[in-house]
Amino acid sequence: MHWLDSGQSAMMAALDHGPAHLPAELFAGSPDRVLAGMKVHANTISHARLVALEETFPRTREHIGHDRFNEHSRLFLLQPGVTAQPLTQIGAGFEQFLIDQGEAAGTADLARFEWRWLTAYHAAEAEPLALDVLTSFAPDELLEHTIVRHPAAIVSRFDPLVHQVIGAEVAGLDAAEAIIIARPQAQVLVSPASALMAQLLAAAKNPVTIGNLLMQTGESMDNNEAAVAAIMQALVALINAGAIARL
Amino acid sequence: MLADITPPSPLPPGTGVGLKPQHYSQALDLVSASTPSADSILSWFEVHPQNYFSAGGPPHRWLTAFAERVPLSFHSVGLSLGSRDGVDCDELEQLAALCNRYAPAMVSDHLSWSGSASNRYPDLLPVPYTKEALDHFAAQVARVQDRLGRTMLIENPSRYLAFARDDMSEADFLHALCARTGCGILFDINNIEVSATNLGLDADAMIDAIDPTLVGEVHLAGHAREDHAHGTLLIDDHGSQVTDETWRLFERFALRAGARPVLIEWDTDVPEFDTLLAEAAIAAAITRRATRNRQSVRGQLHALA
Repeated sequence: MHWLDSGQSAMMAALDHGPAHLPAELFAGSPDRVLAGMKVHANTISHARLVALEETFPRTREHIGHDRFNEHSRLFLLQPGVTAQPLTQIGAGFEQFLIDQGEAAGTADLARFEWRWLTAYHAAEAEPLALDVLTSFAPDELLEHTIVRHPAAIVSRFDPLVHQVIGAEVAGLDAAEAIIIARPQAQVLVSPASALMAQLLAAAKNPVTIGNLLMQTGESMDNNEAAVAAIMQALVALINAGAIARL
Repeated sequence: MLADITPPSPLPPGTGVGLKPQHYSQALDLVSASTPSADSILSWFEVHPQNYFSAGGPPHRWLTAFAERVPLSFHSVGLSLGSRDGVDCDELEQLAALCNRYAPAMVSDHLSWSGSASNRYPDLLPVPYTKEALDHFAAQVARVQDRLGRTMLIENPSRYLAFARDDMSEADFLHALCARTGCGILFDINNIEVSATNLGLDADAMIDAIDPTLVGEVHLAGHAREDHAHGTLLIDDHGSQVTDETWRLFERFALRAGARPVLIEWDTDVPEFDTLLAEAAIAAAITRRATRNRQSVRGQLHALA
């Protein structure tokens, strides 16, 4: 048996589908000993994948309980393409899988929150925009100033369950329309957000001047003066949340 | 042929430990201290580069702080050099980027494979010691070294299985690999104890078979033990203290090799940082004793001559 042609295929088949797929002539030693050796590898692989999911979704696991989480995890790992991912990315798509498995929308959204949190944790660095930078500008300069969403910031609406679970740790989240997850410095910050803040952050996905941001976002508002005030208030809240980067 | 190879050993010949997030603060304090203390036994740290493949985040902030103060060794677990599909190109590109960012003193990976292009196994699976496997493995090591622009070390594996068609020893395979590619050996002494026990080999002979001039780094770790009707099975889990037998094998090697960069590996059930320091202190003491004994023997031989 050529190792590269068929030896690796046989080992992979045995690891994925059981020792019956292992040719008797591949390894030296007694069948018991070979089986024990293969089990060490199979256990190491399974353990590493399951732990990676547990560490990615600790709150989801706590919410539905270890046994159910473990049951979902084992089934998830059998889905096409999942084990082609490195361990750090193995949780991609877990939220949709939970829905497919009949879990409540809130549970799946809690998993989505945790995935977004992890994405912010590992996102690229950028200097956050400080409020005092803006306050130093004259009004015309302020309108010409370009801002952009911080690469480690997202804002999204989540299921009420997420607001409830995360709200136990973050004040003001219970009644918020949306949640900001940002990492302006070392720590990931979670803050309540309004729908307008979500709209602004989406509009600042690419660099945009504050003047254009006001025009784009204010178009849908009736009272111009009040709209500008509301937008500026929302922008300040985004800056305070660490969601805007300095260019 | 072996004498022509320069061992790639830019790491200082002292002790290091695997850097864990729970120890970041304490470890940085230790290496930042202006006055060396009895605890300043660590002269370098090792990390798994795969834990730093993200664009940013706290791990990078910590690693930057360490890289400014002490040499780093990048011990990769994901290149899958023995895979029939060849080295994992995504992993290689990310490793290359990380090397450019942090300029580690050493880069290493394992004599193993970890899946195919469509299925990753987070484990270090065995490679047969055959000419076919050697040809393939050497080509992949050369590919990585070309991309990184540097030589690397390859670690001897913990083995639970021996291939029926092995036609050379592990040491012969590694020596041939070094001769072909210019790479060095990361010699894991715990893996020698594990493999020797699991496969019924002579651990002393395995230690003695390795050419010490090729060894750029040594690993020491603990393992788990299972007793079965078919015999004892040691499992390389890096989850406990270095065993007495591994310490003995390490001293046996150090008597021949002298001082080498030595790492205490502890990856599961990670203990307090002080426990790692205590293990590192033992490794340093053994190295000192072995070095003294080497010098003493050399002195006696010189006197005889």
